[in-house]
Amino acid sequence: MKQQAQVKKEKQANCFKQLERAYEKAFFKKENARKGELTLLDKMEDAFWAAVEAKDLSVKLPDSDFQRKSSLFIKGEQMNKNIFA
Amino acid sequence: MLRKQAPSVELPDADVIRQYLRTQDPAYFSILYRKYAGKVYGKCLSILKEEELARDAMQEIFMKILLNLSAFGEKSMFSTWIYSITYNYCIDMIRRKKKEQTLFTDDIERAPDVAEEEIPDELLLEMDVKQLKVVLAILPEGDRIILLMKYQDDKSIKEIAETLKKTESAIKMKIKRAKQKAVEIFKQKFPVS
Repeated sequence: MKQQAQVKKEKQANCFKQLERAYEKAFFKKENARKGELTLLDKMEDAFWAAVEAKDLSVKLPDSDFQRKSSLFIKGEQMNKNIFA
Repeated sequence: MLRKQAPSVELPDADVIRQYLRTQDPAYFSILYRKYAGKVYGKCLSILKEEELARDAMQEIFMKILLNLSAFGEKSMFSTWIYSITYNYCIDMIRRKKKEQTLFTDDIERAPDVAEEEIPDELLLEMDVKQLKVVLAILPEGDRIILLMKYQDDKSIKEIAETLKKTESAIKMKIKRAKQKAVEIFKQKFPVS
């Protein structure tokens, strides 16, 4: 418990982590909740799913069990090849 | 297509991914999106500096995550995996924009300066958020990225080296120089009165 408190204190003292939290907070903020305003997150997610639908993306199911497929994930060079192909 | 109603139960990321891959129910992917979108957006904005660019980058990154989810390995945490995708995507964007491969200003070989001073972390970490935003906006991209990896994500030297495809000793030097530049900018912009 004491250790957790110490970690929390360190995080609070780290401006990089504070910046991360500030951006997250902005993401969840409603400009005008009474008018039913959506958060930026809601708007972005709606746009995301609209883009998925527009692109007619269908994610292939793994052809075998997840664990085996998972082991194919490789760091660095190969990850770039897979992801940015 | 509207937002997906996410299941109300809190599941570990690996379980959510398995459920998504098994059922293809977008509600499961939505859990991941809502959990990490803020952090991914923040990193994109810190690196790319423009809100519109950051939003576009974030959507592209989640598209890649969606399409490559079956390739995720549980060797690393899911957050580590998506942050690596985020950094790689932003680095790729910057390189395409610059039409050159140099990300760091000191990629052009520079002799190590033995007199280079080691900056204590406290000097860097005790800025307030507004000051940090100013400093990050002025720092070169490579320095911004390396400081975010180290101080926001607590990535190890080895992990940073793997992501940036540099040697560990080169990364140590780059962190040291990025800290120096950040503190120099901070002192210039916010002189003690």
